[in-house]
Amino acid sequence: MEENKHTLLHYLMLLPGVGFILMFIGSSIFLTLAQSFGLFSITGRSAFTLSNWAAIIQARESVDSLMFSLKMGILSSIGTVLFAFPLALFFRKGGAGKGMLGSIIKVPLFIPALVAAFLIVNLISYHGLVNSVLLRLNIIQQPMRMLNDRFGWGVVFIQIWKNLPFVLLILMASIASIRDDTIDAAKNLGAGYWSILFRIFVPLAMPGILVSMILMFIKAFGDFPIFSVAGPIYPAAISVRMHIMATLYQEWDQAAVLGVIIIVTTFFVIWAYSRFAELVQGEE
Amino acid sequence: MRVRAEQQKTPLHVLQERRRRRFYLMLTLFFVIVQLIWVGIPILMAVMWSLVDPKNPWSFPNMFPPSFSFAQWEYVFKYTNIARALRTSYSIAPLAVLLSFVLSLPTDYIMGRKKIPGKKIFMLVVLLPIIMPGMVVALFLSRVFANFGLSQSFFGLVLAHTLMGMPYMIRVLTTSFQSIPQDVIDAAENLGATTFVKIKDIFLPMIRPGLLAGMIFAFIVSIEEFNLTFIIGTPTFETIPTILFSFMGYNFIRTNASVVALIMMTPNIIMLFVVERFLKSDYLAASLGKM
Amino acid sequence: MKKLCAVVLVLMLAAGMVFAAGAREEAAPTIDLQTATWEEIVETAQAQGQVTFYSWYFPDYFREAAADFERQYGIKVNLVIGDQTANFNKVISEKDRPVGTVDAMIVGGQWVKTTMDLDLFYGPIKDIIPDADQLAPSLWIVQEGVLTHGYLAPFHRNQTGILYDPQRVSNPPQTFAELEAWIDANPKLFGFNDPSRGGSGQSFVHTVIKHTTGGLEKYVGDTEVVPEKVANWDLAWEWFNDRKDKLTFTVSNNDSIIRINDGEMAMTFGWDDNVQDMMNRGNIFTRAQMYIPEMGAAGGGDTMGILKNAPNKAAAAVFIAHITSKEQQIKKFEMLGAYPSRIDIPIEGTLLTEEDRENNALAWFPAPYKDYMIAEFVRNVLMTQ
Repeated sequence: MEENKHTLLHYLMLLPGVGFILMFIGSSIFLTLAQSFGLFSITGRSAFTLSNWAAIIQARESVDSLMFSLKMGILSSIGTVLFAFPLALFFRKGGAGKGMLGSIIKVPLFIPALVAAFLIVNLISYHGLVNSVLLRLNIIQQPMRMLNDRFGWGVVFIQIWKNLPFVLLILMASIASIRDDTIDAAKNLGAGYWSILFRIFVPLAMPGILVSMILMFIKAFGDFPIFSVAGPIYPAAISVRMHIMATLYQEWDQAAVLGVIIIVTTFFVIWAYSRFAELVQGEE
Repeated sequence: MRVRAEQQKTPLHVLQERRRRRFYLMLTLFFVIVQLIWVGIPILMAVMWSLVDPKNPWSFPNMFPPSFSFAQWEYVFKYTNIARALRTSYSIAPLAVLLSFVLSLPTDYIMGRKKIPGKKIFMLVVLLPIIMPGMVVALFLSRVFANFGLSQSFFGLVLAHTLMGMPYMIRVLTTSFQSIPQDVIDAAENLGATTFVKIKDIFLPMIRPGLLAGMIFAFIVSIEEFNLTFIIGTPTFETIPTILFSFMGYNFIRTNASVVALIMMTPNIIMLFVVERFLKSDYLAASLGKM
Repeated sequence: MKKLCAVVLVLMLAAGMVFAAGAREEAAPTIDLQTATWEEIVETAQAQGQVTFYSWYFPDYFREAAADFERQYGIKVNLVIGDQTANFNKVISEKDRPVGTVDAMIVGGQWVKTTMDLDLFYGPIKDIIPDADQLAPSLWIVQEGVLTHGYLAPFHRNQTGILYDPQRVSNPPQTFAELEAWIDANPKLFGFNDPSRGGSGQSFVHTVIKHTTGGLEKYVGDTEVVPEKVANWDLAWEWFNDRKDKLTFTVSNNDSIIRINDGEMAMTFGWDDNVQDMMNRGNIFTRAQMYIPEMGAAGGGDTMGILKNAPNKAAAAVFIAHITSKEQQIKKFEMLGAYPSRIDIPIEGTLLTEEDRENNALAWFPAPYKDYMIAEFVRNVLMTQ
């Protein structure tokens, strides 16, 4: 009885947060889902059909787009965390000049994604700074064509540039709660650097690592501006494909299908990341 | 090495400590230089693009603009509502940050400290505002706001920005609550701490780094939000991104876009430096794991 | 228990605020534009007192035009210069509301089909606007292959053509064979944008289809794609695939122009109004030149429409009349060098010559072919790399 009362109270306490979000998001998600089956269509027609799903699943463009966005999302989220984690460890202890450094590092946080994309594209363009410097140093004879590369390295680079401080902030917050006595105890037991890193820091910081990977994935997977400036000519990212589907081909319902796919895929990757985090933590 | 250390009568661990400190200082210096290049050069490019003289374009093979002028800045201030947009943006953002903190706090606490059925689902649900594709936000979420009568209203914009910032706030603060060691709370309870004391002396100090991160994220989300703001805000309200997108979207004009981007970034960066200075002592204390 | 009460109280307060915040503005005076005289429309417009107009370019011109309008009619203009996609998302999001927030807006080629399909605009307005017959007659009927039935008033005309750097291209190609030879001799220096992301790339593919599959005449008047007529389009895709490593693909109209400025490319397909605007603001060198080659390039124009659920339709009509007036069209031309929609204005000193426009400008094939062309280009050229 006591237990139940508590749970009820706990659910009520979720209302201002989760309830607030559901109040606004619920019907939007429902409408997207309904539209993907041809109901409440934006064009005014409304009849249940599976043809939109069939059309999207059969088109190689959509599959390519999904795989490409997935690749970019996973690479960006892992890449940013790999860069940010050592930095977060470095910032764990204070030291001369670190305050200044911490502030400079955070600057890209305040640069909108679209602007970040165009600034970096500026650097790697045909006669951009990178090519000019390499030419002058005689490292290359001909400027390299790096814009809109087929693999998507440009996108990954911009994502890391823009979001390094974002992930750093989360990781610093989660590392902050690791106490020195834990580490001292490990040291006294003869643990080396690597074993302290992998047996203490990584597992204890795992909630933070997980959240950064999840939030970074959402950002990179669903991103529109960076893909549209720096992404490859083909395939289009799934968000771009969704936009093209609706505005160019007027296939609003098929765009809704892509929207549902974006949401479901994101959930799936979050689940996979969470499982991975549980495994890592479970080892301890 | 050891021989010399003994000769100088300096204990080994002090020497090691000194060497370690020097190493860290060099490392810091190295990072500062790398960061200045990493962050500085792209921003310098933006500054140069914003100063391009319309009569004397910056094109290949010039490494730098052949002449500088403030014409692009004048253009933006003369032909856009940038001043009004700045005021609107910076009035909404603090309110949205505050509201998302207050609204999310109970959720953060429950998700971080309590075991309740369906928690994993809730953790996914709170991410929905940022998972939803921009087009769904623009076409459907905006209708929800309009149906609630929140279109063309300042309060509606604050709520919209709160909604988009809350996923970050909730996920980051939940993690902070999660990582408070249970023994600390138990100890406090054994000493007879009331709920109020627990919040004031344990929860708040321990979630502070997370809170700072969450607030910065919510702030940025609010400053950058475009899709929803444009549809439920304009024509009554314009924010900085609504102006930025007129130079960055379909009709991409690098020079003016740089101007607006710099106008958008500068107050944020100044604020960041001030806030960090202001919070420094507490921040470091927290990161040293002292309570 | 106390906590619970507090939570419930806060929630109720929040919910109350949510519903209390939406107070609707009272309806503006209206008039049936189709039957009223122009004087009556102006009178009603003045009673309405304001008009909300959305565009995504020319902030300089529109701001001055709005100031002139306020001086002349005493009607306030709420001008929003947004982004093309965002503008249309906004009106689509509001399309089912009885009264929206937008009165009139610019309509670009990429969005004509969507807006006509969704039935967003009020009309026809051709018989309402006083100088309608002085505006480009073809643009009243069809915009980028879509029939607009007099719903959309021409704002300006634009035209694609070849943009090049005269320092690097001494003898710019005129015929299709010359272009092929030039591309062979100068690999990667000619480029165009992915047709799913901008009209100038579409125009180039359109021209290639014209030359590789036997002209454009056979498509005239079709309302949907006739399979036999597109059966030989694989010739066009072959043309692209044969020289894929000699062509540069860009991601937008403006990206092509930027890459000319950056020196990566020396020649591209571009929109004249785009190039002119970027030149005015120092985004491309002024030595750049443009022409419409003999092989032909498609052109079009941007239009203005009044939203079906516009709160101030009369004021919107008066504003459109103001923008299309001779005085304003001349002002726009002088400020920006963009080609006016009026046919009674003498034109000198634009990027493209009048002879080029007369002899080499093409009309788009019907819109269904264009959609088909883009989808097939992606499938047959971009996908197979």
